[in-house]
Amino acid sequence: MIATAPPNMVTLTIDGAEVTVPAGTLVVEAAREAGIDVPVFCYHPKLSLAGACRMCVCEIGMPPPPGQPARPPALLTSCTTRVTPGMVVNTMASGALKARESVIEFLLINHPLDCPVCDAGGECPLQDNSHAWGPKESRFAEEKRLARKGAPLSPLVVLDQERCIVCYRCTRFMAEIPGEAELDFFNRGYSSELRTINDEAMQSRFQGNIIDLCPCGALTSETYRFRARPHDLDHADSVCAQCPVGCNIVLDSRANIMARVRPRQNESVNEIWLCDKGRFAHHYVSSPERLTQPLVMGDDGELRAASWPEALGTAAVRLQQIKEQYGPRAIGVIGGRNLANEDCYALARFAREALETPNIDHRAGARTAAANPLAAHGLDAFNSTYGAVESAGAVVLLGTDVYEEMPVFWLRIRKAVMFGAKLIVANPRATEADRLALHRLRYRPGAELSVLRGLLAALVESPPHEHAPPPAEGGEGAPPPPRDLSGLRQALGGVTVEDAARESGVMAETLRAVAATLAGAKNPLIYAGARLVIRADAAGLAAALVNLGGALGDRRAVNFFTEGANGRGAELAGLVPDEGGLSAGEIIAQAAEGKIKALYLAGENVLATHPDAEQARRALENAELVVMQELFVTETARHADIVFSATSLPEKEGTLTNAEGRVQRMHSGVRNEAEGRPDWSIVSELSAEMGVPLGYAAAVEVTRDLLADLPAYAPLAGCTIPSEGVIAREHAAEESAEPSAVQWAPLTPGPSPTGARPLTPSPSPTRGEGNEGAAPSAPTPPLPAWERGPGGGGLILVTYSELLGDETMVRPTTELLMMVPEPYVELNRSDAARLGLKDGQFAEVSTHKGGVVHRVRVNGRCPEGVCFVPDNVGEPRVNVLLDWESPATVVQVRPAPESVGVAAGVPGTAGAVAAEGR
Amino acid sequence: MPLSHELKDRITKDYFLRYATKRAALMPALWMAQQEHGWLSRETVEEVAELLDMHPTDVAAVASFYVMFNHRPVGKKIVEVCENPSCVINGATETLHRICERLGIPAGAHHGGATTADGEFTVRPTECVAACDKAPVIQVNSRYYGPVPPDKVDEFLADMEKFNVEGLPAANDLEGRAKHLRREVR
Repeated sequence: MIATAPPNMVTLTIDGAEVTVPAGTLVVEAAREAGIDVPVFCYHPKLSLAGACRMCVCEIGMPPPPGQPARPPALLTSCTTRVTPGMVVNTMASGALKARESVIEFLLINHPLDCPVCDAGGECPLQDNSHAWGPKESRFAEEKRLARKGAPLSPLVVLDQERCIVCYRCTRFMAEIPGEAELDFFNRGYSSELRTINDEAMQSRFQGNIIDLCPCGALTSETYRFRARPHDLDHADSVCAQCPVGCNIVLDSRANIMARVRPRQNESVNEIWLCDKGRFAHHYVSSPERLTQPLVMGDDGELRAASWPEALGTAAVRLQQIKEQYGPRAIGVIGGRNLANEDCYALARFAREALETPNIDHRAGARTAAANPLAAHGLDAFNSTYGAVESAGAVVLLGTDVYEEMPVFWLRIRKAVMFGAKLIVANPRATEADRLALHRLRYRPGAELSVLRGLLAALVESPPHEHAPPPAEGGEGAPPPPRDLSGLRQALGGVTVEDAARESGVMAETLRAVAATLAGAKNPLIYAGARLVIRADAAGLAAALVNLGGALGDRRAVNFFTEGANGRGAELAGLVPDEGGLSAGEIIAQAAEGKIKALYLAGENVLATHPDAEQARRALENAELVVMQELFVTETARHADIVFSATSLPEKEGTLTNAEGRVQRMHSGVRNEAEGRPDWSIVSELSAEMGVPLGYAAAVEVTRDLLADLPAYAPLAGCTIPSEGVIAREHAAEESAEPSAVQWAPLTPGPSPTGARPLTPSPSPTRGEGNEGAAPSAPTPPLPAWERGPGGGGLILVTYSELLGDETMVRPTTELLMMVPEPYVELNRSDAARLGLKDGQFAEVSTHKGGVVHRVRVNGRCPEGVCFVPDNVGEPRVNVLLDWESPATVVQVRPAPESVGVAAGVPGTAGAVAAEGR
Repeated sequence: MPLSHELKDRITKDYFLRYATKRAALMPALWMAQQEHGWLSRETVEEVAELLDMHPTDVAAVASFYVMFNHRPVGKKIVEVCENPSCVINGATETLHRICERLGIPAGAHHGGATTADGEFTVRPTECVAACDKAPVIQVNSRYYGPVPPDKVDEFLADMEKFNVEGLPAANDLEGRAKHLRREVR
């Protein structure tokens, strides 16, 4: 007799043992629960059900209905059969074993059995299942099918069609997880072939995952093919150093050379996925271009190799000199967003204790001192977990291209949308996320604050209802009252939806529709782009965001993204300006004026990242002393007086903190065999040299100190960091489970201090007591003459990073470099027509600061009057156009002379790939 | 050449209402597109993909599953010779061979078929078309012609000179299709 199971639980018998699992569980999963492994090929817990391979057949029987004779059990695929009460499963029934044996025999008819030269050999489900379940000999004496071998699907993934067992894991992944169905089976039956349309190269940024999913070695990695055997690899658990998501990875190395990167399962962060940048861009670690020892500028103005004692001694003496001669405020420290927490903490201590400067910042180009603009409202910069997005009823993405910025987090947002979350995307330019958006808000570049004001005004007009209280016993509760937003009405100071619509360029009805969507959604979450944090109007944006969160029921709905592998860690470790200190952008601006005399740059290539290349160049030239910690001799390093050779993140022991604030351990995957030292060690020795010993001899000592000292990590005191990482805020969550009482943040009236002015001549924003035609506020400052250009026909430049740029950390991976887009300037159709430019032509984009020549892409992504140039591809970088003094950039775009186009050589572009490998 | 507005209208205003997903209208969309252009070019596939919110690879893969979708330009008259047992016993193999020889196209062309240089004929073998009484049977633009034993090939080709080229009625015009199929070439 089967015991009564709790509701929603089902009890069944598997191989004679009773198992109780939630209703709806698949038999294969229920068996796993019971410790019984049923072999599978096509089944994957993260993908939809296919039932394609028949490997998982089990004998499954049902108790007969009362009064009827028992029916014999049937062979069913356990991966598509859900449990029912009383079900009897026999995974080892002789019929099931025979069926599996036949499945294997059939699969091996055409599988080439070239295991000795197959990358998957040794970690191959087909091998393992053949060994465990297959027949001991093959009856097949005919010729095997011949098909494409070594055929590239892209520069990154190679297909061996002969090995393919047609399990559809790869095609299901592409269609379901990133939603990019660019790979599919063509033809049918015996002729089924994995292809892309016209054999064009795959474009997805997630294609590496299909290599992990492939159970038979048909899909292999171009960068790892024939490089190592799995049993020869050393493994280290680490964290990806390519973006703020903090995906968990395993570093596989052979003979101390990185062989490959694999994802490591962490359901809270990356589940089992990895983007192609994280997976493939590791060759920089072993690159021959790496800096192997410290460099010191000689009297001849050339950098020459130096010993560690010499470099450290010189740096200490010269920093001391500057400090004594000009005072500590003449020193600026920039860096840390791509370093480990230990490096950041040691650097922050060094800056404060040895250099004694308040000018410390990790945010290249930052205009404000507050690294977390939400701190003024008692909030962290990120107030939820990645996982929380899955239970959000609505998701707002403001000023971010999350697909390029935090790709693996985009997968989770996409999952939420697939489960019904309403996506609202607000960006000056269309992004990948727009494809799934319910509302798309295309606002004028820089007008985020107006958009938020418009949403707030719309919410004040028709406030959302309070959450329904639990209904009283017996009766229907009265409908919940509308939320009291009178305080917000005051904070808004009479801004109407129409005002905001005029300022932002978003239609009033759209703003109202978005507000209504948000008001009707449970647990809405708001994500704001990392570039908004460093803007001059960050404080205003933060106040408006907090109010929006409050109006929707919880201020903690607001989350800011961050930049760099460890931007959040650097922020929490204290690499932020002290009271009265300068932000990173200001440090460079003042160095260019000769006011900052010494620059200390830790892993920050300011010539490429400061939003004014000319000013950054002047800063490096005018500074009396430039000290750097670097992996490569970057263009910035060429201007340095002393360059310390650092170790890269995959070589380091330590911790990283991801965008959501999760502290995660990383272990060293390869040893640095040259004279590279971890950054924490460099600063602590330099500090000691300057007479302020920090006293660190091992990374773990710094970890211990930083967890104990930093207020952000206080809740973690005394606990070890678990393998899935830990968020201090969540750790302390018990205390503040209730949302705090609503406090409306005052909103700065008038146009934002960035001068986020409307880009096209438009009525100046009006403001008053909510009346039509109230007295206009201060008129928008006119554009300077150079911005208007001779005909006044300039375009507003929007710039952003592509996930894959030709950066120092990508360039050594030549296969990945082929996926990097050719530098381009993106134009709207009507602007292109007006400027006489066609798709594919070359155009010169210029300001008074400089110019670049890029190929034109004409599409509908940019609205009229706006153009886009990515800021991490092409030489020179787009920051040669930017002027630090002017937050909005208007560029002139004109056709480039033919010869320039031809001369502007094009780095590898992913074109069609040759189809036949044989 | 882009798809006609009529076609797009029928898909969006008629077919989308019939199914839960846009994707479900893929087969009629492809069929109608082929009716318009004779074959599914890369551009057509992309247009259908955009109309149905699908990836072009997804559309092309579905189309590749069916032999009745043409992946290359075809001639005005599509001559399909049945190569299943009843017809082969009655000489279909030789019939196909002779037709190809007369038209000057490579014999034994596989399911994709071969097309004459003047664009008049596409010849290809087909699976059973359910007309064994006319074995060896030929289908010309989806209409039966037969029997065509090898010695009647010249007669068949002479008839083709007079053959009035017209497509099938639309896929959802079931009555028209049935009438059309009942008619024979002669």
